Amino acid sequence: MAYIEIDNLQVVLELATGPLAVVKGVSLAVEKGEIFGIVGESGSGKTMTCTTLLGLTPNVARVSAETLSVGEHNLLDKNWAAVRGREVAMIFQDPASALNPVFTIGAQIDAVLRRHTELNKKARRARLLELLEQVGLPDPLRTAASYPHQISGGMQQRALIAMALSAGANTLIADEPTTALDVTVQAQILALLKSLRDQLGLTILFVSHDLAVISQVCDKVAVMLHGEIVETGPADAVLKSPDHPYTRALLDASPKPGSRGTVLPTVAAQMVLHGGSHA
Amino acid sequence: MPELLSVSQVYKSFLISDGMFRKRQLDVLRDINVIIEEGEAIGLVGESGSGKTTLARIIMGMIPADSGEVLFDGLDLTALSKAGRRERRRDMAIVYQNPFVSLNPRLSVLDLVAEPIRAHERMSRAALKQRVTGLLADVGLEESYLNRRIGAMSGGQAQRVAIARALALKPKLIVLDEPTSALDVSVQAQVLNLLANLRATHGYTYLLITHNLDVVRHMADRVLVMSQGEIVEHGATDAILDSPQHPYTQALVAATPKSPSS
Ligand SMILES: Nc1ncnc2c1ncn2[C@@H]1O[C@H](COP(=O)(O)OP(=O)(O)OP(=O)(O)O)[C@@H](O)[C@H]1O
Ligand SMILES: Nc1ncnc2c1ncn2[C@@H]1O[C@H](COP(=O)(O)OP(=O)(O)OP(=O)(O)O)[C@@H](O)[C@H]1O
Ligand SMILES: [Mg+2]
Ligand SMILES: [Mg+2]
Repeated sequence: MAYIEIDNLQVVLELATGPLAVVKGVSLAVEKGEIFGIVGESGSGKTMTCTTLLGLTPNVARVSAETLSVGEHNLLDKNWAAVRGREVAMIFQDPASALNPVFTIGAQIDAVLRRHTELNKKARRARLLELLEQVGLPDPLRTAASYPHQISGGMQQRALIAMALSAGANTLIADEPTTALDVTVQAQILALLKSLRDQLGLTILFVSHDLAVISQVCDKVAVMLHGEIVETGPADAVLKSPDHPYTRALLDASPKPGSRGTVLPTVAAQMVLHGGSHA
Repeated sequence: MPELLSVSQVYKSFLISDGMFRKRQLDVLRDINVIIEEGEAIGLVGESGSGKTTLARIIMGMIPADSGEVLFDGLDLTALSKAGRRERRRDMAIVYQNPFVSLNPRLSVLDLVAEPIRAHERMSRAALKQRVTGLLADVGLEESYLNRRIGAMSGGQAQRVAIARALALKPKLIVLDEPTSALDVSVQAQVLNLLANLRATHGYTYLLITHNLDVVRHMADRVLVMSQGEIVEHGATDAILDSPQHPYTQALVAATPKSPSS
């Protein structure tokens, strides 16, 4: 059995307008120590799939699956206290809403350290500063003392990464973890995640829109469209010679040197071009 | 082309806690000078925390500079009457870095996009709804999202609502703070095409803040590079990205991951 095992995952939202299926039979298997990428259409259910691993889907969501497990934990038992933080930590897509506006960054990370480690106060403080340094925050003391609104978007994102790492979880879900970062800091974060994988055997589910980043860090990748996985395989192979027209269309849609002044191909247009159907 | 925006000698600092129960001054912007002509698209790139969003907020008149001057269409917004400022404001719009923070979670998508229109124009409910539906279609959102709230949308969907809202009044200047980082590359392509098209047809002016150098190259005529509160390099986009002079710009270009298809 793989470390993260998702078999036939379905998420249906019970909306006032009727039920809406947003994840339709997703199956994935991620081995321990693997970095597994998810790319795909905006709104295709990437974040929803991730949040089922922590029991953090919205109230209106009905989740079902044949298998849904991480490590030893059968998530269908819904014993979330044993899972969150200790087994699975998540870097949320939207750092500003994931951080609490009324506590300093330092206080928020310290709360996680208190809950999930045995460290005493002094050791926690040292660990806090070490984490902030590791994620590339230039002035850890200042950042620790700041409230979320006092730091920039990219600093918030790094603070959130530090917080996710602070619990010492075995599995990390990173939902667009580097979107707010400049590429130099991004390179540092990607190197950090890889080294944590190499040293601690961290298993990482990595959601990104950036195909270049996916090809750089991920062992495998799954491509999502309309709540389904349309293609999966080794990251190099999928991104170098994609089978599915949607994946090919994604590759074509990225702006490149020389594309200025031209109309970028979008998926709807591309699907026709490649003979696929945009159902 | 006439000057649309002129920023001269702008300084900004914040009073912060240094972590040891003392206050100190953090200099965030130092001697910023920017001129944007009507119809130009300018890219603003730079280190995370270098002051890009702070500069955008000063340009929009959301926060004051400590010193220096910002002229929009030759007028200093801070010197205008409230009514005058309101009138000028319709010519400028901003798409913030984070839609979940900048958009009111209690409003429906319809109201979010209609709000700026209602503040400046009188029109029937039906006409308003039609206009909003058209704006949503431009950013690739179907009519079925009209009654949704932001909290019930994906990151990329929410970002597109913010873009539709900014375009609602056909402003002259649009400041876009990381407008496409939450979007998949296909929706990003759609939004970039829309922005390029609006610029060609209406002469919009853009200040585009982004970490994505490929997006800058695709969109911007000129680029400004910020590091630690200063503009360290500026010039024609291709010239800067092909032969960066400042060490920070060189690091940026070197750290850009290679696209898998090339
Ligand atoms: N609380 C909610 N109520 C109704 N619909 C929702 C809710 N949360 C999410 N959705 C819908 O579920 C679908 C899947 O959303 P999800 O956030 O998983 O997308 P995503 O693939 O992460 O997209 P993005 O790349 O834009 O972040 C979207 O169409 C979204 O509109
Ligand atoms: N209200 C505030 N109080 C104190 N410091 C602030 C405040 N707003 C911004 N800062 C500080 O100003 C600096 C610049 O922040 P800004 O948000 O402008 O950066 P940015 O270039 O937009 O970065 P990013 O690319 O990460 O979004 C940061 O060090 C930030 O912590
Ligand atoms: Mg998402
Ligand atoms: Mg910013």
